Amino acid sequence: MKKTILKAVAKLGYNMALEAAGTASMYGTYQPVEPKALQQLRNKK
Amino acid sequence: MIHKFATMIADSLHKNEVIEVEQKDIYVYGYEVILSSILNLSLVLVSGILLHQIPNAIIFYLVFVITRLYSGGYHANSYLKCNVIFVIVFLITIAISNLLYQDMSFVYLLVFLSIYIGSILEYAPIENANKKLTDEDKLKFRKISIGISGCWTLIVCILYFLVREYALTITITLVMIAILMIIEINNRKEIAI
Repeated sequence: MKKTILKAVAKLGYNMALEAAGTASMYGTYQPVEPKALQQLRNKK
Repeated sequence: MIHKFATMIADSLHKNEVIEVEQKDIYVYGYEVILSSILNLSLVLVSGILLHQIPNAIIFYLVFVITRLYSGGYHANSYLKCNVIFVIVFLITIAISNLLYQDMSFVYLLVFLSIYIGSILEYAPIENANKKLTDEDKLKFRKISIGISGCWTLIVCILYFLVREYALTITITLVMIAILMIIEINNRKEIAI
């Protein structure tokens, strides 16, 4: 049960990171530095 | 604080062997975006409740977020500054909307909209220093920004004759977005000099 919740939390964070990486400005808030790993992941897709 | 909290969540997931250490940065980034977005939305909603402007607060948030997803614009260099500026922009939008409500003619509305559309055509998308865009992204975001501008214009023109208050809130929000774009462009010019 705990593992399932943690996996869901992880999936949420991962999907949000991918979503944010494909925008000019995410949700009108301060834009943190996009990690290089994320840029590489986007380039692969 | 948001970064620390996001790192704590990612660390906890790593300890529980749910994520790999190489991808931790991606998760931290994702949680930062989630937490700061929740904070921003809460700030606007609380301000809206305090000012008895809940529908306008929701309209402001949606228009601001949807438009800037693809147009970009000014961002402060910390979460705190960005959140404070966000709330100030909201308060200015509500104040101007209330001030102009009685005297707003359709022609003035079109003038305001043309300021926004002009800024989009001239500057969109504005790349953030922390978020590099590829040439392909830039072209795509520009097309989407122009499409969104067309949609907002249509919605505002229809709402003007149905619920003028909301038409005005959308229009002033769009003008604020245009001003934030111009501020960002000017900041860059000053740095370049």
